[in-house]
Amino acid sequence: MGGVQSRAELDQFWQREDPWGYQAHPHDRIRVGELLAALPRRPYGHTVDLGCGDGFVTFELPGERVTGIDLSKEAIGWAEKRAATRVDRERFHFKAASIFDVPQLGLPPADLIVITGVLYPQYIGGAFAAIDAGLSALLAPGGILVSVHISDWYRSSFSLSRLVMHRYPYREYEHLLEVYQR
Amino acid sequence: MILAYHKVGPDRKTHWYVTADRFHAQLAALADRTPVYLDQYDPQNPKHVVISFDGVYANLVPFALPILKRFGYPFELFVVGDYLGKENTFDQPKEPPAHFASLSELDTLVAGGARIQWHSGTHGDLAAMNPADLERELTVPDALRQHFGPEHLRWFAYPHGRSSVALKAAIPRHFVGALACEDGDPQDRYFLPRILAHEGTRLAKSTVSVIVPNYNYGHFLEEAITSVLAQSVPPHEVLVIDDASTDDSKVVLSALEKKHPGRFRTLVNEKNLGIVENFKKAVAATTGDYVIFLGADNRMQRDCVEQCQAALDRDPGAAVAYTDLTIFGPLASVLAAKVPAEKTAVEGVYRWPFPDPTPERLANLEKQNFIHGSSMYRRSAYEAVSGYQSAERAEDHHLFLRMIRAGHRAVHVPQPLVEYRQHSREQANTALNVQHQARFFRKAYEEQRKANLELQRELDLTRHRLAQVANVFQTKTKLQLARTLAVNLVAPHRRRVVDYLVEAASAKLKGEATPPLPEALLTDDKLKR
Ligand SMILES: C[S@@+](CC[C@H](N)C(=O)[O-])C[C@H]1O[C@@H](n2cnc3c(N)ncnc32)[C@H](O)[C@@H]1O
Repeated sequence: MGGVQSRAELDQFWQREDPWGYQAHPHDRIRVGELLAALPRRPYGHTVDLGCGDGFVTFELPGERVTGIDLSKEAIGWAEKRAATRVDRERFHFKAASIFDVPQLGLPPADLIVITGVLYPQYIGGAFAAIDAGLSALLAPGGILVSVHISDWYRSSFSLSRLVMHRYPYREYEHLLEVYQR
Repeated sequence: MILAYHKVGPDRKTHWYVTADRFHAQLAALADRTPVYLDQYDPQNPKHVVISFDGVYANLVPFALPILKRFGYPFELFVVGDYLGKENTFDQPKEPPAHFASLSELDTLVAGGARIQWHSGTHGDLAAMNPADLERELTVPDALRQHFGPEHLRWFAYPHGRSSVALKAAIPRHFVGALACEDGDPQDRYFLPRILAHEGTRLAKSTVSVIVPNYNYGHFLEEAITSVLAQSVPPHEVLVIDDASTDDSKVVLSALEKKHPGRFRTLVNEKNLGIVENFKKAVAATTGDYVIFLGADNRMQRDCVEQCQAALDRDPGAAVAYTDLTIFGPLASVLAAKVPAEKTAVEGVYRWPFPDPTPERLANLEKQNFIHGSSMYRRSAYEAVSGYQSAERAEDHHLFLRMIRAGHRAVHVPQPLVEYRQHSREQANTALNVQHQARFFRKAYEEQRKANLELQRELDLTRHRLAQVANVFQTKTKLQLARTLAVNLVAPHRRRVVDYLVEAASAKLKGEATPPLPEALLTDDKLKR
């Protein structure tokens, strides 16, 4: 029957450190640069990174307060370990939870939502509409949402004003970067 | 109409599940109806709809509640009293394990607009029970009544939809009404019919045709078409009509057809028909009650079809629904200064708000058009005014003008649901060539990849370069230029540029000036151009 990946499956995967080899691959540095370059230049109070993994992207994000959320407890463990060594560790808050449970976490409104590498069928199945509704409600008026995904595997788009669609090569694929504003 | 749902989730483990995406589309189809609580429900009122759930399963909180809240619809939850917070053991192994909502999850749902109702104590076969057991099944514990208050626990839904004379006779002592399944009777308050909603249930009363006319926009087609295929409410049909393009449109279209089999239809004209004849042919080739054109160089926001369809559904006297626009692309600022449009968070991207259709504005529509070409219109009105016609004025302006003069209304949907690209022909053509080559290399790349690992690396680089060249057409800032240069360089330089990029990006975020390009890069001969 398949179904979307469970916490247990993701935890299994996250036993290893840096399972996708982000640290070593030059394209992963580039994707962080692309994302930061695409962010509208303005102060961000609260930033939320959904499906943040070990924080590879999260730690580069602006925001007085940055919340990282991932379903995998193991991934959140790595992120917390990395946060502990940082001088700006006070900025970061990590939580193991599903993106589908985000509306129930009582987070303050987000000025910036980042979601990268998460909106693929194996993670979200046919439930993107719930994410679209939940994240639109989380975003503060005027807030920014950035989505970055491998274009061949990504079939979604948000019910927000889309301001940017930008493509660049990523490993043997192509990344599609979108910027939305509420 | 009373809808009965059970489980909503990311996938359909059994036919009792509806995916959140379909659930959304089904709720969107209720735009012209009035969702009400059962206490307000009038079975004779064709506009009234009740959204009900049996179980009640915990998966409603993550997968259904955000969607119900977005629409602001009321809904009814029929709980199996003995199973709050427990597993669906009575349904297994027929059904996979699933959790019923706990009391606190029900509270969350109530805060989101739910009312709690009763679906018996155990979901057993009530018709076969003795009077004492039956009484227990129908009795809502006082604690629960107190917890939820007097608006709740007034209605009953028969487990398995089954009733009996004794059961029906017992209901009025406990409840103000009861719901059956499809075999109910709209005249009988204690046996009202419900429609079992499943994945395929279609509630929309209207159908939509999206038409993407293309002439030599092969390099933009993918964004246009994928934006249509990603609509929150899938249109009934999508037609791409190619007016005898001379670029690589056909190649692009066949690749897209392969990637999205059956999701859209293509018509290719052998001879160029020109706009009016091409548009007429396209409308004649489709069947939807509503029609919307999307230029092949433009895009739709996710809820464009949903919002425009809802606007026309709600107002049968309206012939056309028009939205605001997002304008983007290399010449966006030129148009933005003219119309005028508002700035957005991204430089060079604007929001163009359109005015409401006041009587004065409609009277002046001939001189000052505000119903743009990507407006959704009613086919019946199109036919009544004999469709597109050759005229000095733009064909769509002319069409909408005749509709308004014939007494139809227009409605404004005040959201930028269409993304309108501003570019010049030359730019398009240069980009076109690059794209053309990029596609060629990409194809070659895909074939060779399997055969030769060495060659793969070469082609990877080539593809990378070409994509970057394409980027130049959108770039103005030094930062973006540097990104392009990065790829023209051999490895050590590339590293430097990437480092520079990261540095520049963080400077940008801190609001500091962009740092100068490193010396080593500026002195490199290859970069002199
Ligand atoms: C490909 S990784 C991307 C990680 C990170 N965003 C980055 O770009 O470096 C996808 C992540 O999504 C997480 N994930 C999968 N399903 C999720 C869900 N339902 N809720 C939250 N996170 C999820 C996985 O655990 C994994 O860490």
